[in-house]
Amino acid sequence: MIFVRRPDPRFRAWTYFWALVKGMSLTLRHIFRPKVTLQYPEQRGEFSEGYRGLPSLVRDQHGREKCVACYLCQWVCPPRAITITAGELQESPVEKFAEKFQINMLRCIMCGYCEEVCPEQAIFLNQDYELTGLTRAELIFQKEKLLEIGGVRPDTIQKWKPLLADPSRSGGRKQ
Amino acid sequence: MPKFHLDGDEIEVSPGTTILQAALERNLAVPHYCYHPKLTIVGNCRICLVEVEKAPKLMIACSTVVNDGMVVRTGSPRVLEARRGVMEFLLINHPLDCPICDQAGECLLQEYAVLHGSGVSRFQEEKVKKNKRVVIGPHVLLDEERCILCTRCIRFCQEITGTHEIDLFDRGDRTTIGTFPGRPLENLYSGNVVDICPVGALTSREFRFRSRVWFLKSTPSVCPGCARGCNIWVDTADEQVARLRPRVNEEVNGHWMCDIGRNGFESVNSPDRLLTPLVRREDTLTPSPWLEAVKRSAAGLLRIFQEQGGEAIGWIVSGRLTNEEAFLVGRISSEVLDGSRIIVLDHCEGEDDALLLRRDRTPNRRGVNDLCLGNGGQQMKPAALVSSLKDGSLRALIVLGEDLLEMPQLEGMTRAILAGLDLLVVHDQFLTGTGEVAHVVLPAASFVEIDGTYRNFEGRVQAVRAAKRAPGAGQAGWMFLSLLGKALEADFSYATSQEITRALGAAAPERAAGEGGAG
Repeated sequence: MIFVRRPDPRFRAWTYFWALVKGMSLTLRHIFRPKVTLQYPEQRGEFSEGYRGLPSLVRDQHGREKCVACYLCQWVCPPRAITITAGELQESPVEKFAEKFQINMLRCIMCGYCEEVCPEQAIFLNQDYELTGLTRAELIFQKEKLLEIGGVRPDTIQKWKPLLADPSRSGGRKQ
Repeated sequence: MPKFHLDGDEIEVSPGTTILQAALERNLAVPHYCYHPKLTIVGNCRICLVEVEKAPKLMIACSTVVNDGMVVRTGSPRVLEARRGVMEFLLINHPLDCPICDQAGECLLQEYAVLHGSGVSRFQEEKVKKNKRVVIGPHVLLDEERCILCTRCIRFCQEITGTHEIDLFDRGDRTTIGTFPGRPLENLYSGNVVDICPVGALTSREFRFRSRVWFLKSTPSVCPGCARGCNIWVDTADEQVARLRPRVNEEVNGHWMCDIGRNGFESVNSPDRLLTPLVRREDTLTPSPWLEAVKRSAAGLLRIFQEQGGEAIGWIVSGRLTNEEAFLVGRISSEVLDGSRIIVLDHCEGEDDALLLRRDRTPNRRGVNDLCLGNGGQQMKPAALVSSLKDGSLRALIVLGEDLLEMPQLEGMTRAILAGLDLLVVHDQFLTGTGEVAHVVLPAASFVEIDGTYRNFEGRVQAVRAAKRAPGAGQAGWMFLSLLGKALEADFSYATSQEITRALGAAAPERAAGEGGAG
């Protein structure tokens, strides 16, 4: 057994007083500074343009779903939140579309890889960060909901437009 | 034997070897589109250009035969510059469909664009528009814009199948491949043009949009479609079979496989697969645990065996069993249920064709014949089956993966005959007509879900490996037979198919090895 002598605090205990003064003066200074606390949810903060919220699907200015079900977002998604089922468009030169497109928002970590990898610029992270629901199923967003959230993002390059406008090229030649 | 320098190494090759063949043999990555080891050399894609010393211009590696003393460089600055130029020309009219193209991920155009392309396009004009999504046959879809006109498919149809369906049409940058009016690409081997197409011009209609290739897990296996036993890759994604592809084996199938084998897997993905064992209770089939179902079968078999002898018990098998399953059938029928009859059913259709497909549409007829009957098993001809069922000399049947009501060779077979049996045990992937009247139905695993070996018509023993799990409680035949043997208190117990392979190898080494050796 080792006996350790308790240090004698008598003199050093006095030094706390200066820390008290220092801390209190900081508090007093902040009382007279402008307030930064937001009264959420009545007050909302402003985010930078690059803020990464929930992902969503978008349409172009002609109302076309931009997603062609290439599966790159499903491939790149680190938490595997995205599930796609591809289907074939019979009458359109685009050929392929997402029959099913769901994002499990409970898994999504809002990393933005899907937006970065998308070759069709069809998936974007928006500013929304509020994710609430009463069931888990509610928080697995289906395609309709994702398109509704995403809205319209006009394309600068209209890759499909000349093809969509020309009916002779819509279905392909059959023999 | 000509000696030459290839990228600084002096190597000796057999006369007539081309530079590309020599380079590929040494694993030098010389890019090539139109060259295919099984097709004639045309040298039209120009991507395999290499520098040959003292030659004024670059030479194409695929058609330049090695001469003594040649000095070849495959990666010099001149070569790289030329490749970049060739890639630029190839990409001028390429539609950049990669997001919707099934070839993406295994496309040589993508690969070489990354490795040898410049990364940016200088092309300002309109691209030439061609037809897309052209149906050129029951299994193949053509996208003319994606085609780089390497003519591999044309040469395949000329030289391998001899059917000449595909050819080049039009001139200049409007050249396309296509089929002649009224002559679609419908030979039995049309799926192979999809495999050999280096780009996404020819794609499979069955695989279309089913999965992206980078999700696929490939398992080496053997096609169960006929007695040839073509080596295949089973590509699975999410426990579903997405496609079958030929696996190169020069001794068996070369680079090819037929469309019947290629598209013969759809039933595996069916949602109607039998998922749980069923046992008849009060005249209805009710779900039951595996062991209970096996015990019930064993008890019934033992009772009939003791009362009426082994002759009253019949095994329905076919060449679809693996060697391991056949071995266990042979052992149980000769060691435990002594004297029980084995009926080997045929699955023959048409005639052998000139390339691969065999008349016998089962992968292991030779192995089953040998292992079921070779060890003292009592055979019964399929023709005698119906009559011995009718006259009551057969009282119990164990049916392994066959539907007796759908077999044309069993004339006069009816549900009533089967329903009159004392015991009918069926091991199948689906609840067939035979299963509906059975006393015990057990869920089976399909050919992509089992381990085992097949012996093809030449006697070559080849391994099959499970690419996925069987749905539900499905179990392979060897597992069922091993459990049944245990319940019958047989003198064996196996935990894996490989154990049985070793056991049957020890029992008959010359048979297990086969004449051609394990593939």
